Amino acid sequence: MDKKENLSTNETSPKYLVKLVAVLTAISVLVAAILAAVNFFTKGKIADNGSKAKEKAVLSIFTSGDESRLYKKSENEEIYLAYKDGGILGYCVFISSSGFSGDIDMMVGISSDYTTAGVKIVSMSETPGVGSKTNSDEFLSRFIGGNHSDPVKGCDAISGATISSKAVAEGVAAAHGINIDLETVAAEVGASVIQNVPESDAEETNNEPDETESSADVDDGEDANTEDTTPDEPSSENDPEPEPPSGNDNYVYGEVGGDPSYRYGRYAETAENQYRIEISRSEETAEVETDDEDETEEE
Amino acid sequence: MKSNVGKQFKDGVIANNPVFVQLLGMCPTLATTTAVVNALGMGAAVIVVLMFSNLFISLLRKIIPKQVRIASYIVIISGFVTAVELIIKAFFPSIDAALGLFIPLIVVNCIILARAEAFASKNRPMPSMIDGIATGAGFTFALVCVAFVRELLGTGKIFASADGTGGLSVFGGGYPGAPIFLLPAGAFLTLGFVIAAVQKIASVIDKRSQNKKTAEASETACGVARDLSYNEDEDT
Amino acid sequence: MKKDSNKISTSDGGMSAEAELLQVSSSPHMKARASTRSIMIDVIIALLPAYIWGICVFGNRALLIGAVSVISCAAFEGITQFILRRPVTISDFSACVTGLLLAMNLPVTVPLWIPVVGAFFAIVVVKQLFGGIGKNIVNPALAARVFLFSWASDMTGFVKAGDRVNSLAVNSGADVTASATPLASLNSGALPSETISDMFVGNISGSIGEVSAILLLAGGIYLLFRKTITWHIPVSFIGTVAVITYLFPKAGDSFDFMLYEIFAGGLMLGAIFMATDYATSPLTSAGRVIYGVGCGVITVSIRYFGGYAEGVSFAVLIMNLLTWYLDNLGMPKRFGETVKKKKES
Repeated sequence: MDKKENLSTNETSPKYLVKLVAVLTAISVLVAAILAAVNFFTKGKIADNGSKAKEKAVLSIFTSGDESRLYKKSENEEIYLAYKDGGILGYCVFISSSGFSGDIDMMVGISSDYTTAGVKIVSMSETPGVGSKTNSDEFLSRFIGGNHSDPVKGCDAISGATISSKAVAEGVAAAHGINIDLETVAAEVGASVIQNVPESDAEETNNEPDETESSADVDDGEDANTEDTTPDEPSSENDPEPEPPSGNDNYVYGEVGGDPSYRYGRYAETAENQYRIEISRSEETAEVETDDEDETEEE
Repeated sequence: MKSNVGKQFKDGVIANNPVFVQLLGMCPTLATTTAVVNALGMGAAVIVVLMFSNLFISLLRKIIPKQVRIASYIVIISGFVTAVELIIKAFFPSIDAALGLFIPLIVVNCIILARAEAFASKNRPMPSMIDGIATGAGFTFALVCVAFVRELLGTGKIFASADGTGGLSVFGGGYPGAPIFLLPAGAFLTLGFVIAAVQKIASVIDKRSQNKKTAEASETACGVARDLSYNEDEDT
Repeated sequence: MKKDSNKISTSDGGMSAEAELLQVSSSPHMKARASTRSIMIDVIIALLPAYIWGICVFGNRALLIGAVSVISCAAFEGITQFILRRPVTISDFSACVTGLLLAMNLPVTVPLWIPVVGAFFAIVVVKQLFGGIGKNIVNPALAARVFLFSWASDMTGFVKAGDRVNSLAVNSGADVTASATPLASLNSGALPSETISDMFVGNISGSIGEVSAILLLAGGIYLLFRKTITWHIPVSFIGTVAVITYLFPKAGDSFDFMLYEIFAGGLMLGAIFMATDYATSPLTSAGRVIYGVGCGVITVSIRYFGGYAEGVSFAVLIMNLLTWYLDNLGMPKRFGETVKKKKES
């Protein structure tokens, strides 16, 4: 046996090399054929799973809706509309933001008063048990009610899942950053917009964009002066640094080294986060205070 | 033939367990054992890939020249892994979401190449396929052991479903959970302790069977001596 | 057969528990009075002032946490040594020191099971499973602290100094106001609102034992005086942090920023008491200096660029792992050893 092999290797004849190449090619072709077959049978199902999941996500956000349709799918945006009896309840933006281990695909639903109606994660490959905790109702429901100017509502991250939760927050902010005017869209599609009954808070903050709460502004480079499409608002009197609740000298409000990643991380234990913990612990009285302060500022 | 199959299984799962004894395939062991259902999904995928790749490689073993064998094995293995991945994406999307990119990583799992090189390239198709299933079963067993501990200590619940809901709560609702066990550091710790436990059990069983053997041997020796002395006594 | 090398049979026929092995050695015959136990007692004495300050400003709960930690460490050590059939050495107080250090690294609001879990990890996993005292590869108390970091929400409940927590159970938000530690402010690029003298004395928020720089320094000087530690590691560690933060301040005046950085967080505690652990720090002076410098560089890097506010724990652990290598640097030449001459080409 050995002798034979020695002969063939000693030869290093073109015939032997051709045999090597031929065998490898043949195997590759065979395997490719099997794969092509499997792909053919599963392609449709996979695509179905993808779009079904998205439409299901839309309807799970707008629970009273009965249909969801893709409105626009371009390189930058993928927008779905939620219908109810032919009227538009709101729109959903499909956002893919980079999480800890891969992309997090989510559907951010924005209702007709431009507040977040809900967030649903369509697919993620975060660390199971850690980053995947961002897929909980408890975390995602915190984003409900945010509007264009404060999409993230200063959400605290999940301990141990800073990057994953930051990715979700960024996705929500990016969804709000896409300018959609529901009226124009409705005219295009030929449906009417069903107005959402606005909450008292939503209306107030809608008219006065809280640019002062630069907390949620993930677009770091832009200053507080860049606006959304909502008309008639004063853009000049913007104080990028709000004042912490009075009586508390221990807090320092500012960007953490220019990197927004620490804002949402309890891990990083920044002064800013402690400030937010303070707010939530004092039962939102401080929050209302800040709003009042801002209003008096701008007047 | 049947006893051979049994022996192969016993070998693959216990005596030559790819994770506990051969210490192969550590990466998926550490990464996909955060929940028992994930471990089962991963194990099932590996069993399927092992079975088919062993079968094919064994069928082609006489044709593949020595110089290109590793390349051919990799092509075959990656083909099957991709096929498995597509099937999982189509029919088990929740498992796909849970395991993420560890399914395509099965290609570089040492276990598959090791079995192909050590067994399938030298044996007939049927035994190769059985070896594939046995090794995969051993891998699954190891993964489930580690995942059981990690999920139990990490979340307090076991057998939660692939998207994280459900599961039997063992310690009651008040258990805060030990997130360290769901993190990579806890994976290493758990794996180390599980391997230590398995080795200890194996050594105890070994010692017992050895003691039994020496006892039997000494018994027969005594018996022979007794017989001899009895005969001698008879003479006098 | 019980292995007990300390017992020898004496003429009275039985095993005398008091008889000790007789050492045979060449002159000079001098016996130092130091034993593991006396060294550990020295360390405890050095730690006590800072710990008592922690009890005073953070409340009686600090005492409770310390007690739980020390008792669990001792218990785990005894149980493990008993199971592994080694001689039980709780009486050398090394477990107590580990327990005390662990307690001083925790904020006062931790639930009581945290010191117990930390004690388990420090004593059983880091110390006993690696072979017992002197054979651990990293500092047990620090390794336990890092292990406990995974319960991040429990471990970051720092309270203001002066907010005494006396209750057994801590209701989050009810008794205490969460306060940003000075280290957190420094991390966010601004000088903290506390004054430097506050930070030196210890009127700040932080873990139980790390707040009072002056008391920790006093403990360190006591240890230097008793020759338990040498000056190399603390000086090079703190010195490196000082130099780097002076040259590259993140905010404010260089000198002020440097002082803040030195007194903030666990630097004093880590440099004096934990980096100097015998088993995990180098033997040679050169090795020690390099070890200290390495710790300092890593601490500052994590504080400036990393996600955690506190870099001392990780820095010391990383350098612990490199100790085996540093031991080789600066080894004294053996008598008669010559350095091989390079071949002249």
